[in-house]
Amino acid sequence: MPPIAPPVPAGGLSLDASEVERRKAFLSITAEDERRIAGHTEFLSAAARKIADRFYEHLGRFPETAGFVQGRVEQLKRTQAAYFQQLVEGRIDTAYAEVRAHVGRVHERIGLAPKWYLGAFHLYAQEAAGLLKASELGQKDPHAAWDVMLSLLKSIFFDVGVTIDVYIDALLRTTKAQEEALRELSAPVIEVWDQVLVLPLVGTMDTRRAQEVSESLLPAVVEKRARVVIIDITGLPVMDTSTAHHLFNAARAVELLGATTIITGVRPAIAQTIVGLGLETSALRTQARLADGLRVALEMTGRTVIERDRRAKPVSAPARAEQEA
Amino acid sequence: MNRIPVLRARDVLLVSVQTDLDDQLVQSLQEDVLATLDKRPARGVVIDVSSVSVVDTFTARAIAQTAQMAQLMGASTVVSGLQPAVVMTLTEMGFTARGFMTALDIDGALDALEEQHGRA
Amino acid sequence: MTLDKALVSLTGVGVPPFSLDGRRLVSVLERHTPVNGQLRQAALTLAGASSSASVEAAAAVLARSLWLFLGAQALPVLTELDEATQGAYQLSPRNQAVPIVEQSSLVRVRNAAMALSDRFGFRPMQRTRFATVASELTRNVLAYAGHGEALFTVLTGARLGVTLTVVDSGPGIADVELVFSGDYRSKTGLGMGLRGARAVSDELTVESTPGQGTVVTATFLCASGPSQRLAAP
Repeated sequence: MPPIAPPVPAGGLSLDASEVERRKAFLSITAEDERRIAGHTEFLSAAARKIADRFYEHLGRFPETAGFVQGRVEQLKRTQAAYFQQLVEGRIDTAYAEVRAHVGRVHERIGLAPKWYLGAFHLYAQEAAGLLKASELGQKDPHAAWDVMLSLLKSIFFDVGVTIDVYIDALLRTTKAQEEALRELSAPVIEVWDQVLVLPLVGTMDTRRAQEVSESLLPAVVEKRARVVIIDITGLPVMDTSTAHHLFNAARAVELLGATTIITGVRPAIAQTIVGLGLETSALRTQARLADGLRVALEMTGRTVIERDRRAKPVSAPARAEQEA
Repeated sequence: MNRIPVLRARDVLLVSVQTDLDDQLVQSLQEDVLATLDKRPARGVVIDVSSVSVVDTFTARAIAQTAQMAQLMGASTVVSGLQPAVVMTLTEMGFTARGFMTALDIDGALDALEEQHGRA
Repeated sequence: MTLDKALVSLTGVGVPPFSLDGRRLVSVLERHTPVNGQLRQAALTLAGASSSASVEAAAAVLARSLWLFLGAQALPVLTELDEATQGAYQLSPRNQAVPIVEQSSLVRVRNAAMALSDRFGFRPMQRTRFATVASELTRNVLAYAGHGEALFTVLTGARLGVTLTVVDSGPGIADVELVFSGDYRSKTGLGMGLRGARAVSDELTVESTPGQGTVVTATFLCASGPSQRLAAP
């Protein structure tokens, strides 16, 4: 039987046993704290049940939070009761931490900002303190009740720490994933016609992006059985040495696959750069505008572009027959 | 020793490389293509490498030389099916295709030979 | 003795041909990551693979999928899967040495590079670059020194990837800079090979003493950082 693996929250933030111990040590959570909470489990969980009703009533009053709970109040009450039940059992371990981590991930996914989570938790602490104060223990031995509250506070801070860390981690991952998606979007390979692909390059090209462009372009050429690829660089403001190098490599690689590359939209500054860099340009096919490139590409694949308004006025066949007669 | 079969379809030689290429295999491929051309001339040679996942500069040069030699014997060569990753790596390594045509697949290779024949 | 161990001893093959229960693989995976259909299929295919070639193919798919889903976190999971299956599938990348002695070594070194690329979830381009460089360096040894060795060292620290060290005790290279300058042409195209290899490696260094031998070290890294394609569970 392999050892039980530590739970790994999405994002690679590890919450294994040693990390849980480190967090507990940093918050000075001792066995004494856990015992103290466990000693009042029954009382504190009764508090949790009482709180649940008022808590969701409270959330319902704020439009920002009302939306998250609408229609799911009963289910959420059960989840919350289970959460607080675990909080007051006084056993902080990896399973406990994983539940807290899960809350962070869920909040990130549904877009519930930490301030609402913190506010809700604060409400619980307030209620718990009030109930403790009014309890039999609170009346007879206020010092002991205060100690229980302090131990509970440590647990609460443990929860908050884990949940917020995971929340931030998940948020970072989401942001990165979006960046990635954006990057892919920014170099789409468009099949404008059978066997003709257009790759418009827009914005800044760094080496990494240039490489990614090649990595998506070449398989597309094979998949679409393209014979001509037009790389349009009208939208590139600048081109440095390494970008030019990558662009040329991509063009050469396309040729080696068995298709033809046409580069369009070379602006004066970029033409100067290319020549200034001493790059071999004789093998490069270029056209001024994307439109010109497209026309050449269509001709290369056996089509002719006819522009209607440049043709002689259309004359109907019978009319022509009369003229000729 | 392993050899790659050289097939003849009408006036075109077809070579489909289905295994990993080591140097001896590339060498024997070159000899076989030239010997087949010597027996009976062909208009073109198609070498399909779509199953080959690694082509280093030596292998690429050997294929280019084979193409050049076949050209001297009156046959144009088309290399078809180079994989995208292979093409990217060769390009980054500074290899440029000289003396042979390329095509996406065997169909494309036959088209290219036909087109060239039409022009000639 | 379990069924799969019995089969191993009967067939005498190192890789169990009808290996472990696929559900066991899936259960190990499930403790680490939300197991979607793709991963589950990869694990079940691996468990059901019936020849060493299909085990290798299925192991490659499983390892690559894990890298795609977990990024750098895939490494400990692969190691744990290896432990749970007693190393039957060699899912995690590990150091290895391949002797360079004859023509067939070329293909063996190349295949080792590709298998390691899969264990590190290299993208197709990086995988081909690595295998091509392995090929170039091995050929140089065969052409100039006759024999040598290719050592693959796994990097698992801050940088994830593989270092390939190709060692020989051949004649050595008198002027390494000249080789890299591009003005050098040799019988095997070594000039272009070594120069090209440096162009596609993340790092490549050459140490050579004429008359004593050459050590070429090429490093290939995983894409920076963990993969971001995994959606939140």
